[in-house]
Amino acid sequence: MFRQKPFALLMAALSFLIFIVFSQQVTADMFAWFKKYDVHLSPAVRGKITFNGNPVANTKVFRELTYDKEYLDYATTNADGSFSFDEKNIRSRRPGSAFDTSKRQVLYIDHNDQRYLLWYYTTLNASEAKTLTEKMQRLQCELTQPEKTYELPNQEFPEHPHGVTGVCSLD
Amino acid sequence: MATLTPKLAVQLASVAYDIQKPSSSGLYRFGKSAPEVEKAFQFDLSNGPIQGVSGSILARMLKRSTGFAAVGKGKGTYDGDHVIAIRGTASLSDGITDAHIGLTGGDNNSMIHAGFNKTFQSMKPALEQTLTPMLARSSTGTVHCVGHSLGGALAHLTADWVKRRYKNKVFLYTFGAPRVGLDGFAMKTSNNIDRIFRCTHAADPVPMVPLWPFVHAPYQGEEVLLAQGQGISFAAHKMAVEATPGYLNTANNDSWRSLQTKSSLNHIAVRFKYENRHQASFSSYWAEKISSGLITLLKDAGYYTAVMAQAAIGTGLTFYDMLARTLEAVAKASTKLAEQTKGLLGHMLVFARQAVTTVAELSFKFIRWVFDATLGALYRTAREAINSVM
Repeated sequence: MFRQKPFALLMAALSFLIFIVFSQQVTADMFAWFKKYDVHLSPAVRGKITFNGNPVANTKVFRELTYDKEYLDYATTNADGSFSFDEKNIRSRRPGSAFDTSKRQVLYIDHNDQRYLLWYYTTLNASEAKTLTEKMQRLQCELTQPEKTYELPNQEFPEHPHGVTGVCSLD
Repeated sequence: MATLTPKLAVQLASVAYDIQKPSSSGLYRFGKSAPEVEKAFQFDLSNGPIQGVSGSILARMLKRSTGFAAVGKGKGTYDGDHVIAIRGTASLSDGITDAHIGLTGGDNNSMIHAGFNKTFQSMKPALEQTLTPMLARSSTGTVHCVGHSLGGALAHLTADWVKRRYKNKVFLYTFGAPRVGLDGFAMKTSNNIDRIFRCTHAADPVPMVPLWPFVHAPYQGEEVLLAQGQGISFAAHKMAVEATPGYLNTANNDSWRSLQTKSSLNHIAVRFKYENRHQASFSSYWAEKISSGLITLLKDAGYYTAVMAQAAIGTGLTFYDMLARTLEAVAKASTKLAEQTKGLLGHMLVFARQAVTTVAELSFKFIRWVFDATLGALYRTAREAINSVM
């Protein structure tokens, strides 16, 4: 057992080194690789959840944010069905790389043994989108409504409208 | 029969990145965030995406498979059609910056990049399982294969395989894709695949690699040049709307006809004069011109067929070792060929932005070093990044 240990350690160190070397991307300029950039994962969220018009109280709402890694947190609805999340930003080297990284925002809730998708959005942009920040400030989610995909205006890049899917009304 | 619009094709290539990281909640709504995709195709990812093992050393060591492709069914204008959207990967930088590129025999009996083929073979069984029941019902519809970066290389291999395996029409759309195989593969796939839209940015280095003898399909055909540009910049490889120029921006168009096309330089004879070497610069134009110069030199010396054959059967030597040995022999054949070799090497050194561009000798060792310098120039930033953590 003891004899195997140095070998295992060596393998671990070697794997780590190989990982560091090969997980780094080709970079945009000489120093871009060293830089860390702001990645806006999610704006602040405020919403209200109802089922047949009745508040869904004391239930966890999950926020699953993915950008290379998954960032998971949750909020609990209060008596009138409302919940909120803080804005979430991270620092990452990835925007300086030559390769794209997908950013995904998912909000969901489990209610009466069923999983409801409140919000689903993906993009290759690391920056904030104003329209989505505004929409996420006032989510009205009636769980009996069917899931719908909304095409929303993009204020920063008007030629690229956003597509958001979920049961919350975004009209 | 309809081709995908540039806008739809590029959005499909970009949404493919969504399957890279699985979501722990399992709530995929693939393609729904891209309005054009949402209108034209529907994806059922209830069984998860098509998995594959990427070409990176770590992934191969751990046999770590991740989502690579998603298959969608057409609706509206694309009713009866199918799409295979394949994602790229950052670990691509590993596979194509390696000068010791391995070749392997592909499905259509021509030589292709071993790493790309390995990833393709790892996803093929799942792809077949998904496609067979879908295509059994519609042999008249077109299968559109789409991908960016490594995803473009995989889409190319996929398109060629789908065409041979099923009866359907197959169209291929790639954005910033590297070269997949030698001229045999490019020729065969150009004939086999019904239409190829190969989109590039002039400053994107990825379509320039692996260096010759890898060539693009359509063979001696046209590429869709979405953005002009000076020099070579790694940022030009990105898709993102916030990137400059960003494939999502440059391909955001409803018709292929309005986009600019560019013919391949590869079949034009180029002979370099050593004293003119300072005209060269670090750009996609010169990368292509130098590759043409190399082909011309080998043809002039009568070594072209032999080099291609040797590359195709594979030898103990790596390709660039073999090429350097060949050029050493070429230079010894005559004074004229020695001058032409010197001209080529001089241009390569200027392209590679070497401080000293004097060609003093035409030995194997020196020629091999010039190849390294040229490859290195294309990937200098990558190497600096790697060295900084060593």
